[in-house]
Amino acid sequence: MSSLLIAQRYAKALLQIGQKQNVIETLQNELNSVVNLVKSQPDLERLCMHPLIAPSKKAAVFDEILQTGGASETIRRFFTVVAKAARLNLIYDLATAFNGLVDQHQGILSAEVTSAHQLSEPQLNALTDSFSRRTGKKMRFVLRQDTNLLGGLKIQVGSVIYDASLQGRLRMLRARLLSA
Amino acid sequence: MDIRAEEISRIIRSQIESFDAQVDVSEIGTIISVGDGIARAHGLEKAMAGELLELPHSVMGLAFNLEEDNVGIILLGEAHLIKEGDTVKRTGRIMSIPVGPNFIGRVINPLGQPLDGKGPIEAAAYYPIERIAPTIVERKSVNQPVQTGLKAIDSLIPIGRGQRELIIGDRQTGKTAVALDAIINQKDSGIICIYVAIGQKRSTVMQVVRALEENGAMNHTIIVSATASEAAPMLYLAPFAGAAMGEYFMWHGKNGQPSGKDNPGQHALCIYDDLSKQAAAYREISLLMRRPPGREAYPGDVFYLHSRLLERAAKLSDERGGGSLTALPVIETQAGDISAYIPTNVISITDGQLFLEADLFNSNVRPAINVGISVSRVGGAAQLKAMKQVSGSLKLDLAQYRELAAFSQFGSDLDKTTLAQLNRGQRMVEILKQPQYQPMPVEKQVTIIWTASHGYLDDIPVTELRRFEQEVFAYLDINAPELLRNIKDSGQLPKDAEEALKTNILGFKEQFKASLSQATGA
Repeated sequence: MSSLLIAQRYAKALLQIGQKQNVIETLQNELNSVVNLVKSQPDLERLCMHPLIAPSKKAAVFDEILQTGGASETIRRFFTVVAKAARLNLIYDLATAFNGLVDQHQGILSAEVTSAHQLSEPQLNALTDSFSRRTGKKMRFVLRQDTNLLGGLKIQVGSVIYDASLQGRLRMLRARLLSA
Repeated sequence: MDIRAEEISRIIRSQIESFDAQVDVSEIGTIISVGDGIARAHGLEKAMAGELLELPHSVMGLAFNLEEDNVGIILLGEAHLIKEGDTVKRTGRIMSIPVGPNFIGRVINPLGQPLDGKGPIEAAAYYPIERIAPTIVERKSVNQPVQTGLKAIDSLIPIGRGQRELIIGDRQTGKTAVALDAIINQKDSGIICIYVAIGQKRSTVMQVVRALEENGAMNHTIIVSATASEAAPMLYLAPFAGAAMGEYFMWHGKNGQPSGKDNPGQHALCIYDDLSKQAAAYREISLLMRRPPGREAYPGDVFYLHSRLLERAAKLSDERGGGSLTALPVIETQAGDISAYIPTNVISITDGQLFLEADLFNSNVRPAINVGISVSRVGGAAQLKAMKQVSGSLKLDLAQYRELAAFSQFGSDLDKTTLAQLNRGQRMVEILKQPQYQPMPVEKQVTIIWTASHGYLDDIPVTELRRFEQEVFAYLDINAPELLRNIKDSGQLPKDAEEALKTNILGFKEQFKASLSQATGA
């Protein structure tokens, strides 16, 4: 089973707890800060990823770190379960999966917008409006710049790409001319 | 060609002016792993099973496995160019190949691209590689023969248009030779032949092409080649591509329009040489895709793989133009083991089988068809009347001969009838022998079998039969050409024709015996 699928299972469980106790946002913040901590500390990351350290030891060390960091009871228990199941190496996938689930729960759609030039505020608002109307969800855009596009935009929502860039149009024109 | 540069730029200008780009919406995925000719991609949530996918470097892929969080893709083309992280695009199309009359006489790969260096081929249409077989109402029972030109087959195991007849045997028993003779014999029958070479050596395919060219058979033949050096997906797709090729002819008249009541469809003969290699290729792909292995490590749907392919062979009803697609799948057995998985599967799917045996081959009975266990379940209905008439006693004589042949090896004292039966059987077996690349017209088959089964060869030495056969045909061609023509045209052998045949045969026999005694006397 792929690691993303496993992470999905744990994330779903954590989300359900959050729903029950109505603390989804605090859980999300806590989880992300833990992940950032692991990312910033090479030693800690090695501990998480190392396959030769016994899961129970990992759990003990991790719990102690979380306790000193002042993490909530739920997060501490969650990581103990994860560590004892020898899944601590999936911590990054866990965070991705959990953030995705929270977005889904709150009706937020994440999209990646690549443009040739930086988008102005009104342009961005228009884009948000049009997409919110189309999908019926709140939009969150991750902005990127790529001069290779020459002009226009390329928007990726999930596995669908809306290509309105000059580069894409030129490619289409070339295909049309070659097939004519 | 006379086009001015001005003209060209005008065309391009109008193309550009009329170009109105819409926002291009496409669905993509990301390659997460690649190797062994397959790839896995994340994303592509709405991909369909069997959908054609577009990868970088103009490599195409086929969605083969749809799993919970990834899509298994088989790569067609230069798989080594694909890297982790590449994007895969959906096309929304099912895989199809170009087909049409322009493919006749060409050698192509399973994607419809030419391999013979004779330039591009213009397609009349695109046919999906996987197509549902004709429905029950679109069909009709088999009623026209496919003459293979081999006496042993046309007389005892007749094949009808739209039938599926398996050719099975060990390696080096002449399976391909039987198939090639059948192709060569279609020179004037109007049947378009498609020879699908799966997993064979390139040199073998080249020999096949040359043999067909030398015998003037490439003018009605298409060769679909997926050689051993190609990746497993090509081998897996090759028979389906061949079937799609044949279906085009079945569903279209000679004028290129869809066939119907007033526009008769054409006839095609598809030879899959051989399906055991295709099954092995399919097993390879399936195992790489981690589908669970079953018996002999073949995946569970290997039966469906062959049944859906062979089900596409059909004889269409008159409302549909009456076209047909005949399938001759070939299976190679290991040491005569026909109870292995793939042979039993294909035997149960087809409408009969031709068993070729190494023992017969080595004792110089060629084609090495074991007529005892070979059957044709539907071909009898399509057999010519004249042939049916003469082959009835042939079957009986051969059966009796087989029974006695084993028994007679022990005893020396045999009664007269037994001796006569043995004698007759030996001559029958001899008559059914035939050299390669020399298919025989049906009227000649009828006459020689008639002669043998009426006992006119009983007093000719077995060793002289080959010469007798050659000379009697030369004699008939000169002295009674209308007799042969009548059999060919009417397909019947009435009483008076039989009488005429008898006088001619007896007349020739006198000559022949005289020449024999001369030779021995000298």
